[in-house]
Amino acid sequence: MAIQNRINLGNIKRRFRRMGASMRLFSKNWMGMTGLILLSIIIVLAIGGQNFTKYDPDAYSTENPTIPPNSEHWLGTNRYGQDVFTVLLDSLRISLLVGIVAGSLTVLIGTTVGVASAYIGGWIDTVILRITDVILVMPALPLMLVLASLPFLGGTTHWSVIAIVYVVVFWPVSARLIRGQALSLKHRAFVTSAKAAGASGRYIIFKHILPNVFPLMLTMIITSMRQAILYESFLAYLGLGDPLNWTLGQMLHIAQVHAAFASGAWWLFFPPGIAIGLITLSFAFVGIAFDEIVNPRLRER
Amino acid sequence: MPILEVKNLKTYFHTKAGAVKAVDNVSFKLEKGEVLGLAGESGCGKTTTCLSIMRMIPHPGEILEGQLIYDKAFEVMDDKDTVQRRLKNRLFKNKGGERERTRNLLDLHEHEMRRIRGNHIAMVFQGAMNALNPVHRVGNQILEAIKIHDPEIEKEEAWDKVIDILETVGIDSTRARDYPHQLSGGMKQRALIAMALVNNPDVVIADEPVTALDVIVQAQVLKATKQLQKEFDLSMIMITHDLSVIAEVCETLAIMYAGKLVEYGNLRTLFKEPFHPYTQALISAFPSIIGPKKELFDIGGTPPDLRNPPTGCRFHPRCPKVMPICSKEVPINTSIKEGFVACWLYEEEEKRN
Repeated sequence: MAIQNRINLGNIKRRFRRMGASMRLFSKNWMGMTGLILLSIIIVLAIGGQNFTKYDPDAYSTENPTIPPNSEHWLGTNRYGQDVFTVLLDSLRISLLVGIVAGSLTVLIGTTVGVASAYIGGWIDTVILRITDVILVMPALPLMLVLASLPFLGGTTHWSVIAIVYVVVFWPVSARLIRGQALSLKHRAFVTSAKAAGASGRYIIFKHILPNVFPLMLTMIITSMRQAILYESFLAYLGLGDPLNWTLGQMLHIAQVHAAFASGAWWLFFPPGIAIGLITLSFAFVGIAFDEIVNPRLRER
Repeated sequence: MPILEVKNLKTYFHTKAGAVKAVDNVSFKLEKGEVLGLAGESGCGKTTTCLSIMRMIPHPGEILEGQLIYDKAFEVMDDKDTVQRRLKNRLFKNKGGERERTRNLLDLHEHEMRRIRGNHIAMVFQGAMNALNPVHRVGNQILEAIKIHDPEIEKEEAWDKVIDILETVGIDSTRARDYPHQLSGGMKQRALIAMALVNNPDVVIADEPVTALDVIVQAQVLKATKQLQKEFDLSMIMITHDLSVIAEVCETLAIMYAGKLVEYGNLRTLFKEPFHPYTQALISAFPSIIGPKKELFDIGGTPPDLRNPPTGCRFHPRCPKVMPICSKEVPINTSIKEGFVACWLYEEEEKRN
């Protein structure tokens, strides 16, 4: 028993040391660090949310509608008299949630389908390929608009509906990429070698194929999260957002509805716009840095 | 009593352009402790023969007929067939229930065959560069090979085995924690051999184990292989197109041509006195370091298309000693000096006597 514990501890220590090496590489990458710092600030703001403000995002008031930024309201108020900064913090939370849930779910489903399709092969592979083809040839945004407005899905478009729509439209992209990688791995000599050693299909998938597609998966998850946030904003801006929860796109939509552009109320569309830009940028930076670390050919010498 | 017996093995690949008869009626025996060399041009079915023994023929290949007699085959069999098992193996032929004990590997289910692979019959693949997974440490990969067949083994015990086998093949135990790219080509090949040997298999099939290595490393790996073979009293099948490799390690030689075994016999006798015209041509196409200088012989023509091989003897279009009967009838195996040859020349001779 004691020996067992010692071995496990050793394993954990080694694992941490290995992770440490990757972390050191990451910390030397200025892009990755900028992205990471930016992202952590955004996440802290999103999770901390109402602790940074004295106002309630849902509280309406008729006293001070559409006033520009001042010392009381740092980013002004909207037409309902709500504090824009408070609303922004609330939006960040849902936008990030959509991004993280939809982004990772897309890649997880894509990986499962892609690896299975590549490994099983035969007619199952063909059927899956044709399904992905059908979804891939349709332009993403119109397809999402149609799906989001389907009555049995939406009606009231809760943010989780947007996330599901994103997953439905984008899983084929990651499935195709992962399938290609898995297919080339399946025919590598070490897989045949493992089979000759008596390994089962499940064993080969978990020990040989998945560890080798993991780096690709990681970069794809980050890209996918960024894209999901962007697409959620598109849909919300076009009026297909969640009317009960604030999201960044919803803020832009309300700004549009209240003619903020025409009346020069810049504090209604600048904050969410810049926030979307910064989130996208930080995800992109972290993604590029990850790519450089897991793909040594991109590493600067 | 041979440890492995291949009887009338037929493996075809069903391509869109017709069936490729990659292995056609191949029979041979492998005795305990014997090293059999399987030689021939590329594409003559050497690797397919061995993959058939492992039952690892890739799609669209199929083993059509034949028997692979391995004595311990029934040891891995499940006594009873459950419905679930039959579904899993997609075999609806027999109704389930009690099963007959078999010595034929072709009668085993896929999950039973997995217990044979690596544990009873192991295979070393060509191209050591790619046969190890780049993301796992070498020692761990060998450890996994043990755990596949003995999932309950204690980790330290398994690791001791790994260190043991690595030292046996001549790799320092400190290298067990290295990744494959940190090893040289020769070391990777040794590691692969270690992986094949770690479960103490009865038969080891080596598919061109030294082809990608330079001559010096070749010699080292072959020497190590030979030593291990003696130490463990292994039965081996060595596939190669390099006759010098065979001369170094093997005792018995089997020559394949276009999916057929054309000659089989003791290595020394065959090198001294080859019977089949193809074997003769093959041996004289190889330079000798002793004896007078002579021009190397080359065999005219190209290997036949295995989708529709030549009628009769498959070698007859290229054979220097071709006779009228050769294109009409398939030659019968004629016993010659503890081996056999499939050629009409000797059949006729036998009849005349």
